[in-house]
Amino acid sequence: MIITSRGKKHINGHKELTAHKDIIDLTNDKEVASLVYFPLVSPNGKEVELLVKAKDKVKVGTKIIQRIDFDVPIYSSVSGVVQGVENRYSALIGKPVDHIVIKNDYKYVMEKLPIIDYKKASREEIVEAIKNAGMVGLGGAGFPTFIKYSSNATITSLLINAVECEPYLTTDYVAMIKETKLFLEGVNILKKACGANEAIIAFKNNKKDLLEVLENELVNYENIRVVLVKDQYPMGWEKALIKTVYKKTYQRLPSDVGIVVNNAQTALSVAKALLNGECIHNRIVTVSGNAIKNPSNVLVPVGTLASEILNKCGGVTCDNACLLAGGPMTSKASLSDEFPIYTSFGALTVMEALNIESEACLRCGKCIEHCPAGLQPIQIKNAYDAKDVKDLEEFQTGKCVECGMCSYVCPSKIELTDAIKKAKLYLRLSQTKK
Amino acid sequence: MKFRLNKGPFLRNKRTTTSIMLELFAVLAVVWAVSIGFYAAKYHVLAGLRVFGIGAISIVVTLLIDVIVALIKGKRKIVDIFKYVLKSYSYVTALIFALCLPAGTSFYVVVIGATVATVIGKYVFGGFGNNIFNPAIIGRIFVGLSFADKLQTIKVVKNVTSSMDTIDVAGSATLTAGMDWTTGINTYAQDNKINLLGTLFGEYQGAIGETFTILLLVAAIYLIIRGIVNYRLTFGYLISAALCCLVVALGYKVENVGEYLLTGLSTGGLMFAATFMITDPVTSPKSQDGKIIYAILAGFLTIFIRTFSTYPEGVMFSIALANMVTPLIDSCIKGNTFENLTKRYIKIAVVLVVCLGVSFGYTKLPKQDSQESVMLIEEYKGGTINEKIC
Repeated sequence: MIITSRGKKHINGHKELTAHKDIIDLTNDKEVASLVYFPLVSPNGKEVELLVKAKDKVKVGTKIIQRIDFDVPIYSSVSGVVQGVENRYSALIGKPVDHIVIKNDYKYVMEKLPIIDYKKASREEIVEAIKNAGMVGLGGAGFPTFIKYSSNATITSLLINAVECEPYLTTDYVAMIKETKLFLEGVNILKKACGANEAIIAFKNNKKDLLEVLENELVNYENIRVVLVKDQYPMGWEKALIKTVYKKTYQRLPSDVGIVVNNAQTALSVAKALLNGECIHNRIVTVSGNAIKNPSNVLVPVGTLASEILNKCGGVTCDNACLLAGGPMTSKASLSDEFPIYTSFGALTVMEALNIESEACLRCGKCIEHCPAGLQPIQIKNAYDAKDVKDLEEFQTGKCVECGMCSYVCPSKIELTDAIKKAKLYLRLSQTKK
Repeated sequence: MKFRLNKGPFLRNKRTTTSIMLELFAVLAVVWAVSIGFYAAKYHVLAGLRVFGIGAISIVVTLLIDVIVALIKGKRKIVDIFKYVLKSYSYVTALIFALCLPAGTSFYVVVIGATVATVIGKYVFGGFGNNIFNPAIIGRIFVGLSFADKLQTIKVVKNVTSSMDTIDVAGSATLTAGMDWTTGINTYAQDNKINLLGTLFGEYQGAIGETFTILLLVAAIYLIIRGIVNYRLTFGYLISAALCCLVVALGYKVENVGEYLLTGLSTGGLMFAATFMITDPVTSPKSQDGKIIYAILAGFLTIFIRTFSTYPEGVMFSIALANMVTPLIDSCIKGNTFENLTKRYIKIAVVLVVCLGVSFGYTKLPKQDSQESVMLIEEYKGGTINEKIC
């Protein structure tokens, strides 16, 4: 630490903008979600199977899409009539794709999933139920949950990631405060599903109120405990979190060291699905940033257009704003706000566009000092500028997680993260050519 | 509504290179201001004015060169030129250079030195960020070699005819040059009655900025806390120099090791270099362990040149030499900075041990001006040498 790199660094989270406000329920607001949209591709761009056709009547929880790549269903989030297919921009894929459109009748008639008693059910039954409920990771990646629980590796510990290290985001926090009991039930279900003998809930040490609420409830549960971590970015990255909590490192997957990691809201939605029979139909979205009038947390049906949500939050306050589906550190900017909210989108961040003028590299080494993956960003950029494949390999370019830390700390405002993204692509292309 | 498609991340640190450099300039200006006050109070008001003049001339000259370069590069609008000058950061170089000069330096030497520092030290390599050597050091080495007799300290001359005293140059002898490093006896300190406390508070003359060791230490700590300089460089350099000094003291079997060490660290601009010169990010390696290896090398070279070579001051040469190794160090440190930590520590340890070993080794070499050579010279004078050689 003193001699070599430090990695993570504290970044002002601006969480106070939304953390202690009431959640605004927009599900019955007639100006929001009159039409909802679901993309007809999976997040990795693969094809899906469409199960409904135009003019079909659907309820909340009607299976409308089946993902082929992972065999996971996607359920309707509203009740109403299917209108057809429309091509529009998707922030999930980053380009326009076909979406199925459903007209909302605001009745929210529900078609319930089968409810199981997890205390009596076997491990396999629980995993099967999680799969059928269409559970995906709600932290941002949208990776199907059941896969983590179907591996053959011996799992000793379940880690619930409630760190939310991205600035501005507060959905995990407000969801845990709002439905603490259900959340802990979900943790218990997941603990049983992976066969671990303990579960750890990790969040930042500045959330003392959440700690109090959880500890009051935790007396009813065995082998679930809370670990507080430092307020640093990117603490919520699996590798960094496991290293901090368990002092363990791994190369590929957390299951290599016997750990399963899931997001806090995933645990909550698993509990809702298995105990109440609800699919993921509503989603808490943090609408925040320095260019939105009323930053707040809103509850909307999945598939609601971002523009409708932004309007409900007072609109954008400046002309040169960037809209991000996610937090400000890792997300890509979207050109338009006419895209639907996907299950794994936890936030809409509106940031004033920065006027960034890059200077010559000061060679201060700040990017190297703070890279959480232990890379040397400026060296990778130089190697990429020289198109030196050998150097790109030696500097382990592929290990970059695109957290944005190097661009954040750079005093010369060099676009390091952007350059490394390109370098990764270039390296992959030149490796496949061989 | 349309949105901008900027590159992420959309949150950036407020610290910019300009703010870092301006803050560094402010700290340098404080050291400069203290020197002006000190010289004015201790010696003469004119001495204080001279110190002010040296700094001001250096800054004005470099700013003029910046403006000329901006014009050559095709900037015509006043705003563009101002921006170019602001982002060239030559004013920092100028002040570092000025603070390395003694108070009696002729003004035209300052002009030449500042020009060399900016043009040859920086713009020849392509401007800020591309220079291999620390520009201020290039300027200082140039004037040190070319105008050694013009770099003089000052003395107060009592004027008999009028009541006003004046100042005059007092020769180029310095505290570090007066030190016999093989024995630890400092003739200059004895002649001018300078004690150890004096070396810490600048009670002697040297370069303008280098003598007030305690102030420099405070400045270094401030800069480290503010994240402007990398502590690995400052402490790596100081620790390496201290260890080498200790080993040399033990090698020469010096009587008072503590005094020897303190003189070594607090004189000859070593503390100034540790605060403002070795910490120049542009000429130091990028990686963190690289910075430590670089600092260790520079610290060793400083002591090596001082105690072993014919030059009394080693700071400038040592950092310039270490600058040359920077690209090599950068190209040697690859891979993941969190992995193979032991290997990284071993690399640093090997460099340090080799430096200390060499330091100890050269103290055991036979001294050059031994009795034998004196005899030879005498024999030569007597005309017997030719026969001996034949």
